Amino acid sequence: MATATALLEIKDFKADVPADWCPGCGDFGVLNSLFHACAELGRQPHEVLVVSGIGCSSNLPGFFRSYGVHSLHGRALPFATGAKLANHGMTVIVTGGDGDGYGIGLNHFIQAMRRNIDLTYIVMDNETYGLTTGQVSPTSETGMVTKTTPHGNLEQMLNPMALALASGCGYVARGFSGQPKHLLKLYTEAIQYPGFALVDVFSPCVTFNKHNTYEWFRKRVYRLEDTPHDPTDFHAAMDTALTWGEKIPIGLIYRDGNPRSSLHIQDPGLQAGPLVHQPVAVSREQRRKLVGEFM
Amino acid sequence: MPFIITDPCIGTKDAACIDVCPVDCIHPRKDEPEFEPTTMLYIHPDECIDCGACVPACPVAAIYDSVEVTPSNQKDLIEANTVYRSGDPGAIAKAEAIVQAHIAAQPALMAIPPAERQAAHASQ
Repeated sequence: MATATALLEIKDFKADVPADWCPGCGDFGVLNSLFHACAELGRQPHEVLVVSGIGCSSNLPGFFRSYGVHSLHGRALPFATGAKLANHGMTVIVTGGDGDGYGIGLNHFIQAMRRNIDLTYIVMDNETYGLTTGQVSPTSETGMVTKTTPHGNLEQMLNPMALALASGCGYVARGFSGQPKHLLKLYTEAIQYPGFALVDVFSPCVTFNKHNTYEWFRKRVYRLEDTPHDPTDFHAAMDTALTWGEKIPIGLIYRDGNPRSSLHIQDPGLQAGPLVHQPVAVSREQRRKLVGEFM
Repeated sequence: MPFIITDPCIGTKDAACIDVCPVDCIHPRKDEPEFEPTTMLYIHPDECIDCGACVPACPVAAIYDSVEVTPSNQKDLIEANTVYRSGDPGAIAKAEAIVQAHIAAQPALMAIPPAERQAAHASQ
Protein backbone atom coordinates (compact mmCIF):
# COMPACT_ATOMS: atom_id res chain seq x y z
CA MET A 1 0.00 0.00 0.00
CA ALA A 2 3.05 2.24 0.36
CA THR A 3 3.46 2.75 -3.36
CA ALA A 4 4.10 6.30 -4.53
CA THR A 5 0.79 7.82 -5.58
CA ALA A 6 -0.19 11.32 -6.62
CA LEU A 7 -1.96 13.55 -4.14
CA LEU A 8 -5.59 13.82 -5.05
CA GLU A 9 -7.84 16.83 -5.27
CA ILE A 10 -11.27 17.38 -3.79
CA LYS A 11 -12.99 16.54 -7.09
CA ASP A 12 -11.32 13.12 -7.07
CA PHE A 13 -13.40 12.17 -4.03
CA LYS A 14 -16.69 13.29 -5.59
CA ALA A 15 -18.78 10.42 -6.86
CA ASP A 16 -20.62 10.59 -10.17
CA VAL A 17 -23.89 10.83 -8.24
CA PRO A 18 -24.41 14.37 -6.93
CA ALA A 19 -25.77 14.74 -3.42
CA ASP A 20 -29.56 15.08 -3.51
CA TRP A 21 -30.28 16.41 -0.04
CA CYS A 22 -32.68 19.36 0.28
CA PRO A 23 -31.13 22.68 -0.82
CA GLY A 24 -29.35 24.18 2.20
CA CYS A 25 -29.13 20.89 4.13
CA GLY A 26 -26.34 20.85 6.69
CA ASP A 27 -25.13 17.51 5.37
CA PHE A 28 -23.60 19.28 2.35
CA GLY A 29 -21.14 20.98 4.68
CA VAL A 30 -20.33 17.65 6.32
CA LEU A 31 -19.68 15.98 2.96
CA ASN A 32 -17.69 18.89 1.58
CA SER A 33 -15.36 18.99 4.59
CA LEU A 34 -14.87 15.24 4.25
CA PHE A 35 -13.72 15.69 0.63
CA HIS A 36 -11.24 18.28 1.83
CA ALA A 37 -10.04 16.14 4.75
CA CYS A 38 -9.30 13.06 2.64
CA ALA A 39 -7.51 15.16 0.00
CA GLU A 40 -5.52 17.01 2.65
CA LEU A 41 -4.46 13.78 4.37
CA GLY A 42 -3.30 12.35 1.05
CA ARG A 43 -5.67 9.39 1.20
CA GLN A 44 -6.47 7.46 -1.97
CA PRO A 45 -10.07 6.34 -2.59
CA HIS A 46 -9.06 2.66 -2.43
CA GLU A 47 -7.64 3.18 1.07
CA VAL A 48 -10.90 4.55 2.47
CA LEU A 49 -14.12 2.81 3.44
CA VAL A 50 -17.18 4.89 4.30
CA VAL A 51 -19.96 3.01 6.10
CA SER A 52 -23.39 4.38 6.93
CA GLY A 53 -26.70 3.28 8.40
CA ILE A 54 -30.10 4.55 7.28
CA GLY A 55 -31.41 8.08 7.04
CA CYS A 56 -30.93 11.15 4.83
CA SER A 57 -27.38 11.60 6.09
CA SER A 58 -26.62 7.90 5.60
CA ASN A 59 -26.80 8.43 1.84
CA LEU A 60 -23.36 10.01 2.15
CA PRO A 61 -21.25 7.03 0.98
CA GLY A 62 -23.11 7.16 -2.34
CA PHE A 63 -21.77 10.66 -2.94
CA PHE A 64 -18.20 9.84 -1.92
CA ARG A 65 -15.74 8.13 -4.23
CA SER A 66 -14.19 5.35 -2.11
CA TYR A 67 -15.27 1.93 -0.91
CA GLY A 68 -18.67 2.40 0.65
CA VAL A 69 -21.44 0.52 2.38
CA HIS A 70 -24.99 1.69 2.98
CA SER A 71 -25.78 -0.78 5.74
CA LEU A 72 -28.78 -1.40 8.00
CA HIS A 73 -30.49 1.08 10.30
CA GLY A 74 -28.29 1.65 13.35
CA ARG A 75 -25.84 -1.05 12.25
CA ALA A 76 -23.13 1.00 10.59
CA LEU A 77 -20.76 0.58 13.55
CA PRO A 78 -20.98 -3.25 13.74
CA PHE A 79 -20.33 -3.42 10.00
CA ALA A 80 -17.41 -1.01 10.27
CA THR A 81 -16.01 -2.95 13.23
CA GLY A 82 -15.91 -6.12 11.16
CA ALA A 83 -14.37 -4.32 8.21
CA LYS A 84 -11.70 -2.69 10.34
CA LEU A 85 -10.75 -5.98 12.03
CA ALA A 86 -10.65 -7.75 8.66
CA ASN A 87 -8.41 -5.11 7.10
CA HIS A 88 -7.04 -2.66 9.62
CA GLY A 89 -4.89 -1.01 6.95
CA MET A 90 -8.00 0.81 5.71
CA THR A 91 -9.16 4.21 6.90
CA VAL A 92 -12.70 3.46 8.02
CA ILE A 93 -15.10 6.37 8.38
CA VAL A 94 -18.60 5.81 9.71
CA THR A 95 -21.36 8.30 8.97
CA GLY A 96 -25.00 8.62 9.90
CA GLY A 97 -27.54 10.68 11.74
CA ASP A 98 -28.52 11.14 15.36
CA GLY A 99 -31.52 8.86 14.99
CA ASP A 100 -29.43 6.13 13.40
CA GLY A 101 -26.50 6.33 15.81
CA TYR A 102 -27.95 7.56 19.08
CA GLY A 103 -31.39 5.97 18.75
CA ILE A 104 -31.62 2.74 16.79
CA GLY A 105 -27.89 2.00 17.08
CA LEU A 106 -27.17 3.37 20.56
CA ASN A 107 -25.89 0.13 22.06
CA HIS A 108 -23.44 -0.36 19.18
CA PHE A 109 -22.24 3.20 19.69
CA ILE A 110 -21.37 2.50 23.33
CA GLN A 111 -19.74 -0.88 22.61
CA ALA A 112 -17.61 0.47 19.74
CA MET A 113 -16.23 3.18 22.02
CA ARG A 114 -15.59 0.71 24.86
CA ARG A 115 -13.75 -1.63 22.49
CA ASN A 116 -11.86 1.31 21.03
CA ILE A 117 -12.06 0.25 17.40
CA ASP A 118 -9.97 2.65 15.28
CA LEU A 119 -12.88 4.30 13.48
CA THR A 120 -13.88 7.89 12.80
CA TYR A 121 -17.56 8.29 13.55
CA ILE A 122 -19.20 11.37 12.02
CA VAL A 123 -22.74 11.96 13.22
CA MET A 124 -24.87 14.46 11.33
CA ASP A 125 -26.91 15.62 14.28
CA ASN A 126 -30.04 17.49 13.17
CA GLU A 127 -32.10 16.76 16.30
CA THR A 128 -34.87 15.08 14.30
CA TYR A 129 -35.72 12.11 12.08
CA GLY A 130 -35.54 13.95 8.75
CA LEU A 131 -36.01 11.10 6.26
CA THR A 132 -39.32 10.15 7.84
CA THR A 133 -40.37 13.84 7.83
CA GLY A 134 -39.73 15.12 11.33
CA GLN A 135 -40.32 12.86 14.31
CA VAL A 136 -38.72 13.27 17.75
CA SER A 137 -35.14 11.97 17.93
CA PRO A 138 -32.82 11.18 20.86
CA THR A 139 -31.19 14.60 20.60
CA SER A 140 -34.45 16.57 20.27
CA GLU A 141 -34.65 19.02 23.16
CA THR A 142 -37.08 18.35 25.98
CA GLY A 143 -40.28 20.20 25.19
CA MET A 144 -39.65 20.24 21.43
CA VAL A 145 -42.82 19.96 19.36
CA THR A 146 -42.55 17.43 16.55
CA LYS A 147 -44.97 15.25 14.58
CA THR A 148 -44.77 12.57 17.27
CA THR A 149 -44.66 14.97 20.22
CA PRO A 150 -47.49 17.44 19.50
CA HIS A 151 -47.51 18.53 23.17
CA GLY A 152 -43.74 18.75 23.39
CA ASN A 153 -41.02 16.13 23.94
CA LEU A 154 -41.47 14.61 27.40
CA GLU A 155 -38.10 12.83 27.41
CA GLN A 156 -34.66 13.96 28.51
CA MET A 157 -32.47 14.67 25.47
CA LEU A 158 -29.43 12.47 25.01
CA ASN A 159 -26.01 14.04 25.46
CA PRO A 160 -23.71 12.19 23.03
CA MET A 161 -20.60 14.08 24.15
CA ALA A 162 -20.98 13.12 27.83
CA LEU A 163 -21.98 9.57 26.86
CA ALA A 164 -18.85 9.25 24.70
CA LEU A 165 -16.62 10.44 27.53
CA ALA A 166 -18.24 8.02 29.96
CA SER A 167 -17.82 5.17 27.46
CA GLY A 168 -14.07 5.58 27.04
CA CYS A 169 -13.96 7.46 23.74
CA GLY A 170 -10.50 9.03 23.38
CA TYR A 171 -11.38 11.74 20.84
CA VAL A 172 -14.61 13.65 21.39
CA ALA A 173 -15.37 16.68 19.23
CA ARG A 174 -18.31 18.65 18.01
CA GLY A 175 -18.60 20.77 14.88
CA PHE A 176 -21.15 22.84 13.00
CA SER A 177 -21.73 22.43 9.28
CA GLY A 178 -22.13 26.21 9.00
CA GLN A 179 -18.40 26.41 9.80
CA PRO A 180 -16.87 23.94 7.31
CA LYS A 181 -13.23 25.00 7.76
CA HIS A 182 -13.42 24.40 11.51
CA LEU A 183 -15.07 21.08 10.77
CA LEU A 184 -12.26 20.13 8.40
CA LYS A 185 -9.71 20.58 11.19
CA LEU A 186 -11.71 18.29 13.48
CA TYR A 187 -12.01 15.66 10.73
CA THR A 188 -8.30 15.57 9.95
CA GLU A 189 -7.46 15.15 13.65
CA ALA A 190 -10.16 12.53 14.14
CA ILE A 191 -9.08 10.45 11.13
CA GLN A 192 -5.48 10.48 12.34
CA TYR A 193 -6.41 9.68 15.95
CA PRO A 194 -5.30 6.11 16.79
CA GLY A 195 -8.61 4.86 18.21
CA PHE A 196 -12.32 5.55 18.17
CA ALA A 197 -12.94 9.21 17.34
CA LEU A 198 -16.35 10.85 17.51
CA VAL A 199 -17.22 14.05 15.64
CA ASP A 200 -20.80 15.09 16.32
CA VAL A 201 -21.83 17.73 13.78
CA PHE A 202 -24.73 20.13 14.15
CA SER A 203 -26.20 19.69 10.69
CA PRO A 204 -29.49 21.60 10.42
CA CYS A 205 -32.47 19.96 8.71
CA VAL A 206 -33.89 22.93 6.81
CA THR A 207 -37.10 21.12 5.87
CA PHE A 208 -38.34 19.30 8.96
CA ASN A 209 -36.69 21.00 11.93
CA LYS A 210 -37.77 24.61 12.15
CA HIS A 211 -36.47 24.85 15.73
CA ASN A 212 -32.73 24.03 15.45
CA THR A 213 -32.00 26.23 12.44
CA TYR A 214 -28.66 27.65 11.22
CA GLU A 215 -29.63 30.88 12.97
CA TRP A 216 -30.37 29.00 16.22
CA PHE A 217 -26.94 27.38 16.18
CA ARG A 218 -25.11 30.50 15.00
CA LYS A 219 -26.42 32.43 18.01
CA ARG A 220 -25.26 29.76 20.43
CA VAL A 221 -22.06 28.07 19.29
CA TYR A 222 -18.62 29.22 20.35
CA ARG A 223 -15.27 27.63 19.60
CA LEU A 224 -13.38 25.95 22.41
CA GLU A 225 -10.14 26.96 20.69
CA ASP A 226 -10.99 30.55 21.64
CA THR A 227 -11.26 29.63 25.34
CA PRO A 228 -8.67 28.35 27.84
CA HIS A 229 -10.26 24.85 27.66
CA ASP A 230 -7.70 22.05 28.02
CA PRO A 231 -8.91 19.09 25.93
CA THR A 232 -6.63 16.66 27.77
CA ASP A 233 -8.35 17.38 31.11
CA PHE A 234 -11.06 14.72 31.39
CA HIS A 235 -13.06 16.44 34.13
CA ALA A 236 -12.98 19.79 32.33
CA ALA A 237 -14.08 17.94 29.21
CA MET A 238 -17.05 16.46 31.06
CA ASP A 239 -18.06 19.92 32.29
CA THR A 240 -17.79 21.22 28.74
CA ALA A 241 -19.76 18.27 27.36
CA LEU A 242 -22.60 19.07 29.75
CA THR A 243 -22.77 22.70 28.62
CA TRP A 244 -26.01 23.29 26.73
CA GLY A 245 -28.43 26.18 26.42
CA GLU A 246 -27.81 29.78 25.44
CA LYS A 247 -24.17 28.92 24.75
CA ILE A 248 -23.00 25.62 23.22
CA PRO A 249 -19.33 24.76 22.77
CA ILE A 250 -17.96 23.37 19.49
CA GLY A 251 -14.45 22.13 18.81
CA LEU A 252 -12.27 19.54 20.48
CA ILE A 253 -13.85 18.65 23.82
CA TYR A 254 -11.55 15.80 24.80
CA ARG A 255 -8.44 14.12 23.49
CA ASP A 256 -6.85 11.37 25.55
CA GLY A 257 -3.27 12.51 26.09
CA ASN A 258 -2.20 8.88 26.49
CA PRO A 259 -4.49 6.95 24.13
CA ARG A 260 -5.10 3.31 24.98
CA SER A 261 -4.32 0.85 22.20
CA SER A 262 -7.14 0.27 19.77
CA LEU A 263 -8.54 -3.24 19.45
CA HIS A 264 -6.61 -4.31 16.35
CA ILE A 265 -3.31 -3.44 18.04
CA GLN A 266 -4.17 -5.66 21.02
CA ASP A 267 -5.80 -8.58 19.24
CA PRO A 268 -3.34 -11.53 19.20
CA GLY A 269 -4.77 -12.77 15.91
CA LEU A 270 -3.88 -9.54 14.12
CA GLN A 271 -0.23 -9.27 15.17
CA ALA A 272 0.93 -10.82 11.87
CA GLY A 273 -0.79 -8.03 9.92
CA PRO A 274 -4.27 -7.36 8.54
CA LEU A 275 -6.41 -10.47 8.42
CA VAL A 276 -6.99 -10.14 4.68
CA HIS A 277 -3.24 -10.52 4.08
CA GLN A 278 -2.82 -13.56 6.33
CA PRO A 279 -2.98 -17.06 4.83
CA VAL A 280 -6.00 -19.15 5.69
CA ALA A 281 -4.33 -21.26 8.39
CA VAL A 282 -6.74 -24.18 8.37
CA SER A 283 -5.62 -27.47 6.81
CA ARG A 284 -7.91 -29.56 4.65
CA GLU A 285 -8.14 -32.12 7.46
CA GLN A 286 -9.07 -29.44 10.05
CA ARG A 287 -11.66 -28.00 7.71
CA ARG A 288 -13.23 -31.41 7.13
CA LYS A 289 -13.37 -31.95 10.91
CA LEU A 290 -14.95 -28.52 11.50
CA VAL A 291 -17.57 -29.05 8.80
CA GLY A 292 -18.24 -32.49 10.28
CA GLU A 293 -19.19 -30.92 13.60
CA PHE A 294 -22.07 -29.13 11.92
CA MET A 295 -23.38 -32.15 10.01
CA MET B 1 -17.73 22.00 -8.78
CA PRO B 2 -19.17 25.03 -6.97
CA PHE B 3 -22.11 27.18 -7.90
CA ILE B 4 -21.64 30.18 -10.21
CA ILE B 5 -23.45 33.54 -10.26
CA THR B 6 -23.99 34.85 -13.80
CA ASP B 7 -25.17 38.03 -15.49
CA PRO B 8 -28.85 38.25 -14.45
CA CYS B 9 -27.32 39.44 -11.16
CA ILE B 10 -25.99 42.51 -12.95
CA GLY B 11 -28.47 45.26 -12.21
CA THR B 12 -30.25 43.06 -9.65
CA LYS B 13 -28.00 42.35 -6.62
CA ASP B 14 -31.07 41.24 -4.68
CA ALA B 15 -28.93 39.51 -1.99
CA ALA B 16 -31.64 36.98 -1.06
CA CYS B 17 -29.01 34.32 -1.80
CA ILE B 18 -26.75 35.78 0.89
CA ASP B 19 -29.49 35.41 3.50
CA VAL B 20 -29.98 31.71 2.78
CA CYS B 21 -26.33 30.70 2.31
CA PRO B 22 -25.41 28.54 5.34
CA VAL B 23 -21.68 29.15 5.08
CA ASP B 24 -21.53 32.86 4.17
CA CYS B 25 -19.71 32.23 0.89
CA ILE B 26 -21.60 34.83 -1.19
CA HIS B 27 -20.21 38.36 -1.18
CA PRO B 28 -20.30 41.31 -0.94
CA ARG B 29 -22.96 41.33 1.78
CA LYS B 30 -25.13 44.42 2.17
CA ASP B 31 -23.21 45.35 5.33
CA GLU B 32 -19.85 45.27 3.53
CA PRO B 33 -18.47 48.55 2.08
CA GLU B 34 -17.87 46.85 -1.29
CA PHE B 35 -21.59 46.21 -1.78
CA GLU B 36 -22.45 49.59 -3.29
CA PRO B 37 -19.61 49.91 -5.84
CA THR B 38 -19.70 46.21 -6.89
CA THR B 39 -21.76 45.39 -9.97
CA MET B 40 -22.80 41.85 -9.03
CA LEU B 41 -22.45 39.22 -6.30
CA TYR B 42 -19.97 36.34 -6.28
CA ILE B 43 -19.75 32.82 -4.85
CA HIS B 44 -16.36 31.83 -3.51
CA PRO B 45 -15.56 28.43 -5.05
CA ASP B 46 -13.47 27.14 -2.12
CA GLU B 47 -16.07 28.07 0.47
CA CYS B 48 -19.20 26.91 -1.40
CA ILE B 49 -20.41 23.53 -0.10
CA ASP B 50 -22.69 22.83 -3.11
CA CYS B 51 -25.85 22.87 -1.01
CA GLY B 52 -27.96 24.71 -3.59
CA ALA B 53 -29.90 26.87 -1.12
CA CYS B 54 -29.14 29.99 -3.20
CA VAL B 55 -30.66 28.70 -6.46
CA PRO B 56 -34.36 28.88 -5.53
CA ALA B 57 -33.74 32.09 -3.54
CA CYS B 58 -32.47 33.99 -6.58
CA PRO B 59 -35.34 36.05 -8.08
CA VAL B 60 -33.65 36.21 -11.51
CA ALA B 61 -32.29 32.62 -11.80
CA ALA B 62 -28.70 33.87 -12.06
CA ILE B 63 -27.08 30.86 -10.37
CA TYR B 64 -25.85 27.71 -12.15
CA ASP B 65 -24.95 24.65 -10.14
CA SER B 66 -21.57 23.89 -11.73
CA VAL B 67 -18.90 25.15 -14.07
CA GLU B 68 -19.92 22.45 -16.56
CA VAL B 69 -23.53 23.62 -16.99
CA THR B 70 -22.68 27.32 -17.05
CA PRO B 71 -23.47 28.53 -20.63
CA SER B 72 -20.47 29.38 -22.78
CA ASN B 73 -21.38 33.08 -22.91
CA GLN B 74 -21.19 33.19 -19.09
CA LYS B 75 -17.94 31.31 -18.59
CA ASP B 76 -15.93 34.54 -18.31
CA LEU B 77 -17.81 35.27 -15.08
CA ILE B 78 -16.53 32.03 -13.50
CA GLU B 79 -13.18 33.75 -13.20
CA ALA B 80 -14.83 36.78 -11.56
CA ASN B 81 -16.44 34.50 -8.93
CA THR B 82 -13.04 32.95 -8.26
CA VAL B 83 -10.88 36.06 -7.99
CA TYR B 84 -13.22 38.24 -5.94
CA ARG B 85 -12.23 36.73 -2.62
CA SER B 86 -8.79 35.45 -3.56
CA GLY B 87 -7.23 37.77 -1.01
CA ASP B 88 -5.04 39.59 -3.54
CA PRO B 89 -4.94 43.36 -3.01
CA GLY B 90 -6.39 44.07 -6.46
CA ALA B 91 -8.85 41.16 -6.46
CA ILE B 92 -12.03 43.19 -6.21
CA ALA B 93 -10.94 45.51 -9.03
CA LYS B 94 -9.91 42.51 -11.11
CA ALA B 95 -13.33 40.87 -10.71
CA GLU B 96 -15.02 44.16 -11.52
CA ALA B 97 -12.92 44.50 -14.70
CA ILE B 98 -14.05 41.03 -15.84
CA VAL B 99 -17.69 42.01 -15.25
CA GLN B 100 -17.32 45.30 -17.14
CA ALA B 101 -15.69 43.45 -20.06
CA HIS B 102 -18.61 40.98 -19.99
CA ILE B 103 -21.12 43.86 -20.15
CA ALA B 104 -19.25 45.44 -23.07
CA ALA B 105 -19.03 42.13 -24.94
CA GLN B 106 -22.71 41.20 -24.52
CA PRO B 107 -24.77 44.29 -25.45
CA ALA B 108 -27.72 42.26 -26.76
CA LEU B 109 -27.94 40.21 -23.56
CA MET B 110 -27.60 43.26 -21.34
CA ALA B 111 -30.49 44.95 -23.15
CA ILE B 112 -32.79 42.19 -21.89
CA PRO B 113 -34.30 42.73 -18.41
CA PRO B 114 -32.38 40.71 -15.74
CA ALA B 115 -35.31 38.42 -14.97
CA GLU B 116 -35.46 37.27 -18.60
CA ARG B 117 -31.73 37.05 -19.20
CA GLN B 118 -31.30 33.47 -17.99
CA ALA B 119 -33.87 32.23 -20.52
CA ALA B 120 -31.88 34.02 -23.20
CA HIS B 121 -28.58 32.35 -22.20
CA ALA B 122 -29.35 29.13 -24.01
CA SER B 123 -30.48 30.82 -27.21
CA GLN B 124 -27.35 32.93 -27.53
